[in-house]
Amino acid sequence: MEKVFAELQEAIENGETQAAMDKTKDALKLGLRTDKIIQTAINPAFKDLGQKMFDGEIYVTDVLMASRAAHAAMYVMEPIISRFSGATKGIVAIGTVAGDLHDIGKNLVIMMLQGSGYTVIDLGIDVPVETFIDAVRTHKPDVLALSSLLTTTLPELDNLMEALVQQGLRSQVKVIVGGAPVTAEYAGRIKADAYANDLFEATEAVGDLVKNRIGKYAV
Amino acid sequence: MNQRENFFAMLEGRKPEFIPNIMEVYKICIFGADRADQPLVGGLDAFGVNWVVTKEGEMPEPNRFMFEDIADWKEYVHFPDVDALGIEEAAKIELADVNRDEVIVNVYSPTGLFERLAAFMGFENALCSLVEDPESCQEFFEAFADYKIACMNRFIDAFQPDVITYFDDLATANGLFMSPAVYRSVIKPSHKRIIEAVTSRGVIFNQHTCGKCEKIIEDYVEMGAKMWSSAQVSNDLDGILEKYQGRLIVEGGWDSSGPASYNDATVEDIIAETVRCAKQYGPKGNFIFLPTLLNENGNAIFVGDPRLAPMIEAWHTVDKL
Ligand code: B12
Repeated sequence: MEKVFAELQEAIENGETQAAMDKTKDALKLGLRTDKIIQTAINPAFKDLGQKMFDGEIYVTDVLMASRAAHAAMYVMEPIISRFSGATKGIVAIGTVAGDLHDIGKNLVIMMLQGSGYTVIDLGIDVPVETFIDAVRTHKPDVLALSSLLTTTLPELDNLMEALVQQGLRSQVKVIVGGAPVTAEYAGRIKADAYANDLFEATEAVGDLVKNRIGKYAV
Repeated sequence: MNQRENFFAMLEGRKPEFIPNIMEVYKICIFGADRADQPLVGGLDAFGVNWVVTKEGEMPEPNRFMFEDIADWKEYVHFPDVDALGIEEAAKIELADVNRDEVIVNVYSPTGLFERLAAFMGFENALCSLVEDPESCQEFFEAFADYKIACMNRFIDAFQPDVITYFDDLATANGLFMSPAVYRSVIKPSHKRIIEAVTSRGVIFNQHTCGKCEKIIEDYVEMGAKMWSSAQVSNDLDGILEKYQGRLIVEGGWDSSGPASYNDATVEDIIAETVRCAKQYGPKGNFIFLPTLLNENGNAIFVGDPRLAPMIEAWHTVDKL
């Protein structure tokens, strides 16, 4: 049992899509639960990758390949996960703010969140404030996540926070912000709930937000 | 010394009289790139990729890929006829009022090897291809380098430039997109041919790479680049300036994701960042100041900004050497 977890973790870390799918199938055949697979193989894989990325040992390509492998593993488990509704850890709506077309970072955050068992609604790039607001109304996400890579589009974060208050939606959703020019200080200034620096921190931070915990990444 | 003499003093590792900024030292030429690489006003380029212009700059239309599997590249990539691009005509228009005795003619060559691949298939696909199918990538890079080299030769004939700045973004704020090993085995051989094509004709090669790319600066220098541009603060700029004194001019310095690049940065913030660059990097001697001042209309250097004048004044007044 431990062996299959270790093998799945290794396949993901090495970005081996086929192996990740095979090992996930093996794990399911052994009767292992999907949440156990996520906790014991997928999450540790990314935790390890996070540390390696932080240490400069691995690169964006490695994380992308690993994310693809994790996606493949999730794909195998998907029919089972969706059979138990409520198995999702929470709903996150995410988008890159208006005027900004960068999406590599956002997509990595999405893959990581999905890989960790969250339901993610991807609003795409160049997302106007109104679309974020509509998404809060329609999907009732636990967390709204905004990505901004340009300093020129940072004011969009301010605009969104204002709109949430004006529309009376602020108490219904937690807000996390990120992207290269965003800082914890900036997030604090606009009264977001959390800021995270990379995909690994983002996942931890979202975990805190859905559980209503004031964690390391609260601002 | 005028800008030109001062620049060459720097390049040769002699003590410059002053530390230049990119607004004053160069005549920057972009019309050749408009024809060969990416259309300035957006629309289809010579390869059929659609470019969209935003206030901040331009990029290939997101999520519209020419192909997704690098093994298919030959089916989709048709190299433009370099004779038909109109580079000579572009040069004539752009060089009409240049005083070659005073400034440095710097011709931009954007969309380098990796960026071109990403323009065809998107960043994520391009990055994964480097690891999944390096052979096809190498084959593509070789062919694209032939095109780039043909364009470089045209640029050199038509513009008679002092410098060619070749753009290829290979890094994020935290590190390279790909490992140095992948860069060296898949991209570098073609990159080297491009650099040598330029330097063998007596033109200075300026390598533009944003982000934290310090792990491959040595490769750039070894291949013959004499300048590195957009040098961002995520790199150990002090160390690099020192290590490569007399061998590499470092152009950049500005904290382009920091508060001085926020739309609402005050004149004081901007002057503070200008003075920091002057005092921290100026004394090393091999530095050119490249500020990134942005406002709600885009890049201040192109769209204008009342904060530019005080910034340049601050740059002129502060003691740099
Ligand atoms: C790749 C890239 C591009 C690609 C984008 C491809 C794509 N599909 O996304 C292309 C070439 C198309 C591009 C275009 C432009 N770019 Co660009 N680009 C970059 C670059 C080199 C890397 C960004 C990246 O993908 N990083 C990799 C990912 C993994 O990292 P990340 O995005 O930071 O995301 C991580 C964290 O930030 C965090 N995160 C991200 N989002 C979120 C969200 C939440 C909620 C959380 C919690 C965390 C989080 O987690 C992520 C994963 O760890 C940066 C350089 C840099 N220093 O960052 C410039 C950069 C962002 N670009 C810049 C500019 C100016 C542009 C252009 C205007 C002009 C140009 N021609 O380059 C256009 C903009 C078009 C537009 N309107 O958006 C500037 C911005 C400067 C500024 N002060 O605003 C930068 C900083 C480069 C520079 N010159 O300094 N770019």
